[in-house]
Amino acid sequence: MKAVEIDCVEHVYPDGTRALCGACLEVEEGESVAVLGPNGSGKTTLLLHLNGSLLPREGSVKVFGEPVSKRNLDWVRRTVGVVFQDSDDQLFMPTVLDDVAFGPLNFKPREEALRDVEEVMRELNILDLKDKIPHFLSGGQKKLVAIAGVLVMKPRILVLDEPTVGLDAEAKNRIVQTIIELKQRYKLTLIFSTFDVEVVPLLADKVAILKEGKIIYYGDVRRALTDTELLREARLNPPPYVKLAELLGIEEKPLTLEEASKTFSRFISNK
Amino acid sequence: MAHIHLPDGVMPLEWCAVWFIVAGVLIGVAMLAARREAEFRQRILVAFLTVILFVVMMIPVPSPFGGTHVNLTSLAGIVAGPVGSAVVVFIVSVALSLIGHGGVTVLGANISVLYFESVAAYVFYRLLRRRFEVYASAFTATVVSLILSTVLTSAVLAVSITGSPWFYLNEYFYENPLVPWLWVFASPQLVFQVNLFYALLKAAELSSPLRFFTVFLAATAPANVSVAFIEAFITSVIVQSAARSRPDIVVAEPTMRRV
Amino acid sequence: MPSFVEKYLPSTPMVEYFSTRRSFYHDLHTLSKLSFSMSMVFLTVYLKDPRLILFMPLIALSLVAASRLPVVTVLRWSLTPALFAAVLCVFLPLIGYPLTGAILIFVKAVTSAWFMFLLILTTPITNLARVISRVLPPWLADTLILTSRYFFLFFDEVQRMFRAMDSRGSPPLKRKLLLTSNMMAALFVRGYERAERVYVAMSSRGYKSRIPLASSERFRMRDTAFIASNLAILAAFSLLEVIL
Repeated sequence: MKAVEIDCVEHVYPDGTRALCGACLEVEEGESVAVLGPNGSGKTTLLLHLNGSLLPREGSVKVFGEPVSKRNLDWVRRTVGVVFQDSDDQLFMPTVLDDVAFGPLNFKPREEALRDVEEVMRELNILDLKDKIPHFLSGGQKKLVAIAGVLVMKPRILVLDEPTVGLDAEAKNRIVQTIIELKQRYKLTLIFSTFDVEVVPLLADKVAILKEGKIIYYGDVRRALTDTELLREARLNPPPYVKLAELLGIEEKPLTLEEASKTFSRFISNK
Repeated sequence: MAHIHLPDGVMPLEWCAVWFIVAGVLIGVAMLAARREAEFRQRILVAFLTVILFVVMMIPVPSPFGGTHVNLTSLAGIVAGPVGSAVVVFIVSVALSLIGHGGVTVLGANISVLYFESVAAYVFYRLLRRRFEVYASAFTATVVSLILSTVLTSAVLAVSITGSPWFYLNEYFYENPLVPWLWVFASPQLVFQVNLFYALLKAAELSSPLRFFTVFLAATAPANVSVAFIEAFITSVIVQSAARSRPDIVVAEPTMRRV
Repeated sequence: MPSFVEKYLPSTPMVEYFSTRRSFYHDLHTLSKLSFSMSMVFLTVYLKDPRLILFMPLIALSLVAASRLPVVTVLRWSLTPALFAAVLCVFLPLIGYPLTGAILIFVKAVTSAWFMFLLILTTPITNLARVISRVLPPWLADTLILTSRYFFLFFDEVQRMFRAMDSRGSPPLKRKLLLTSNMMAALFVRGYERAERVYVAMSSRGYKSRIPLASSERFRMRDTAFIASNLAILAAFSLLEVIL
């Protein structure tokens, strides 16, 4: 079953800017798609359509076969969880506990909601942050709390807008690791946007590249990240291993560290 | 907020109660209207306006007198309308009194006068916009509403304090001229406070609320009016920049009125 | 912001630090502390007899000390409200008002401020927002909760903007006024943009009518005892006031 179907969606903002022109995308359940593209290409706009925060002027967005409309917004929002780019926009409650519990308390009785909250926080290892104030948390902690607040609604699709932006190296590793584990454990469908090409092969099966509101590529990760022309059009740098492989004239372009160590050691031993 | 900087201890408790009831009625009516009108998005926008104003009020504004602080109730009125500004005035007044800035007992009077400022600014802005452009309308609306609220403050105090058998100062007063050099060295806060208490004292001997009103008004008007112009400048700069970039957020704008 | 502000006004990090410490007073339920401070302010204003009035600052300061708060810092912070009332003390005797009367009004004003400091320095603002919001209509409650969360954020942003402005030199007055106004306008627009994003985040998680609150405090035996003592003090002093 197709988890998400975006069918030729057009979106125009109130001040006239055309954000999306005929964007089409299909994501199978359990798949993981990275949305790449330069600034202003419409990535955030596209992601906001996935939970009904924005409605298309033309075209349709379907989640598990159901078209997203004003009538089924509640269901859509429980099925599609969105983690926003700026954690301070998302952590709007006075304490961490209040924030993670915000979602469930809107839909469930209090006892049940608080039980779900404790479960999720234990799983993400953030129970010790329970009474802390979001303002004083580090970037990585904020992102974890934001993910907890979304995960506690038990969505089937997880959407993340630039999950690694502004995080230091350790926080980034932790977040990426957490997302990978969650995806496997809950069989989530993952859709995320990012500038960080190094993260893409770790998390994604497919890549969609947006430019000026149109999807100019949608397909395999490997092909996307090794096609330097494509990447230049998208104003992205290829991952460093790819660049190095190209410089050295190696055919096989490694995407991750593991692949790179194998490829380069083979290259060196062949020399 | 800046206007009634009465500390606790000056207004007798029975009048504090009266103004609490008045404020309660005003805010209550606004909240009832809110239930019918406002969509949730507007609520969040107003909530953030409250935060912004709270922070902006703490910024010292450069003026000929040194650093003054503005209260921007007129801005709240123009941008959030009569319903939204009730929220802003209420929350900011309560929060300020909790941190010791302005009395708790005089909260009712504070809220009533400040809400009046917001609504007056809103009404005048809309009237003026029929003929004038944004900057001029905002400037004039602010000045007018602040002048009117100065008058209202005098009236509120005249009614609440004169001849009250509980007011301490009634028993001990005799005339003395105001030391002139205070005017030269004082900042508007100090001038205002000196004005305020001198007026209170002079009027405490006067048994007629009307005479209190006149004396108090005459004494406090100069400082208040001069700060009013600074506030008007700031308000109109902000309203103009908001109207230019996001006209949909200014409730009082006739062409794109958000409900 | 000038260092005057930092020294003489409660600064947010310090308030945050003190309000999260532990002491017998800190551990009381927010409602107990709130009603105590409020009722004591009203009592202070109500009293007329000087002997009774002078008890009030004693009560305030001893509780401040008992809750392990730095008395000196509290005194320094109370200089600002004291300034407004102090005009009386300086000015009234000049025009013949007896010094004692002026001092009593000054005492009332400063004591009220102390009771309020006692409250905010022992209670995290989030707790205050939660307790007060329960009795408010939805819009006011939600605004209070969001204000308690986002105030620090915008305050920090303003300080950053100030630092940026100051690092570019000190322009003449008129220009400074224009710069400050523009800074406020920028802050205003930024605030609105954040408001819109927060609203999207809120509605994405099901925000419908009122912000639900998860955290709660326990009302314990000591709270009952404390409130009873509070009522006893109110009764005793009111009675004494009438008698004396």
